Amino acid sequence: MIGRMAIRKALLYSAGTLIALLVLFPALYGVLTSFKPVPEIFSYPPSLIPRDWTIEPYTSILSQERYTRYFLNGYLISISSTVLCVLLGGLAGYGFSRFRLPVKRSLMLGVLALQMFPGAVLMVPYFNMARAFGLYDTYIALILIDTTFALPLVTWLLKSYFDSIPVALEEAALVDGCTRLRALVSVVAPLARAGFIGTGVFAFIRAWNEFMFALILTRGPTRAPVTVGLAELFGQYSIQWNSVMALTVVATLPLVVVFVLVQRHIIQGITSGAVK
Amino acid sequence: MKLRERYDLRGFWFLAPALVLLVLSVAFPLFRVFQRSFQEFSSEAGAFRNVGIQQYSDLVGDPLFWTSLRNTLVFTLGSIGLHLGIAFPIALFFNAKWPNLRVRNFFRGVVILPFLFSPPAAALLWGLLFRPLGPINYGLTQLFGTSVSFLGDPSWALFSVMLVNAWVYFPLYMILILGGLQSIPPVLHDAARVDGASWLQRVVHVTIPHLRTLLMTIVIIDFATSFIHFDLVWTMTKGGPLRSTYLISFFLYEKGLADFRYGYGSAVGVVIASFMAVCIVAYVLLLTRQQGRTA
Repeated sequence: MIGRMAIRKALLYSAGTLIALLVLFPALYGVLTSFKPVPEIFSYPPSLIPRDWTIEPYTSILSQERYTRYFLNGYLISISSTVLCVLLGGLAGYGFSRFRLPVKRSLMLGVLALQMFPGAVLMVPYFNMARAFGLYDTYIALILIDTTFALPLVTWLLKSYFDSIPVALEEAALVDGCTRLRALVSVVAPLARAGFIGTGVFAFIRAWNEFMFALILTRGPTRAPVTVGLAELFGQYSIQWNSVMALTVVATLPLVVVFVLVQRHIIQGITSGAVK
Repeated sequence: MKLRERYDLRGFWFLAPALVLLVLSVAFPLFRVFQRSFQEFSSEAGAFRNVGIQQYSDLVGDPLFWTSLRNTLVFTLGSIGLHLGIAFPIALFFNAKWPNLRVRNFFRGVVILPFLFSPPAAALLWGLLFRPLGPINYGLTQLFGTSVSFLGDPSWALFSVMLVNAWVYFPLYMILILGGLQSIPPVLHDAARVDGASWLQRVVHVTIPHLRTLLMTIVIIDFATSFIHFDLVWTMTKGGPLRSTYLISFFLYEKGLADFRYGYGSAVGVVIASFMAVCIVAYVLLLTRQQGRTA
């Protein structure tokens, strides 16, 4: 019996390693390339592991103001839209969870349907509206758009999170003379911390990785996020692959860190968002 | 009358900020798309004028529209197939009895990682692999003595971008399927095993029927997502070579924005929105029906 368990363990672990290596190969190869000196990226047959490790690709690309600017923009846009999402989604989720309202069911179905809304359809009016309201090439336009498309799922998830918190706790606070808003902020929100973290991470990842609207609504690196900086590198005639990969690694690292910290919440979020 | 008295309208204060944003940023522009699809911008007058269904009939006669629609359908159906084909077996693998859950969670975490790469980042990673003298072509040359121009050959390009799209998004579907697998009562598998069913028979006759709603939901989500796909393919090919990867979202972008034909672009938007409306209705129906059953 112990023998069979050991065999099973060995099989599962080696298959797991094989699958992980296969899936991760593009990322691994990219990371390894980011540590190669220039001559080595053009060598044939291509090398897998750098013969001479160097961090020069990182220092050269991160010392360019153009790229630090993309990162600054990316953080500004993503963090603002995350805060806005959690704020609006928290309020709306609470409203849906705790109040008896006319047309509530239709509104909730509307929010559910919006999760699948094809943002690309609004490309033309967004461009024209941004022009008309002086929002072309501004942070605000991108923050609002990122918030719009993450908000339905955030609202939906926070609503189901609030549903799982007993009403009795706030009722005590309300009897003591608290307003509804005060009850949400000081009683419910602390209990729903995990829900806020999960949805916040979701909103951040979406905003950080958004590309299409950033491409359409910005010009040059002054307001554009990292995705635009990465995409413009693809079309270049001769690509400095080591620096490009260094930029790719640095652009993805924040998400990997966040993911490792709150993996459980993200998986929960994905599962309950689409299925419940 | 009694029911209405129990409504607490103060709740709308909580909904208001989100609803105002969604009305201004989705409902209003969506209305604009419909409106503009019947109008054309004339630069002499500096204003939009009504042209009726002119732009829709132009669209039907535009061969580029049909090219983009055909490519989009191939891309969408291919992506759905690849996503399920990769995600389902891996989800089954993670759903097996693991002696140590921490190890399983570690591997699961690693396999989810591609999902974190932004579309342009994933495009660059694969652009490096797809190079004429890159590692994949080196392997192909060693094994078969030929190499492939993944993004330069019109007969390969669409498949190549589908492959990258599969790599980035399969983790999402893998997590969804894994969640579904974990909701199957083990009793069902035990009963089938007692009846002498093999592993494959149990997958076909127990697992898949149990996940039917979930799999349908996934197909709808994936259809809606891939149909309007823009980012990844735009970064890698911009629709080329020879328009072999030219998707309907590129058509929308080029006509509506690059060529400043706002009205024509809006007509394309309406066509896409109608495809999506079918998906959205199916999605909401599936989910509400499923909730009704479990509640």
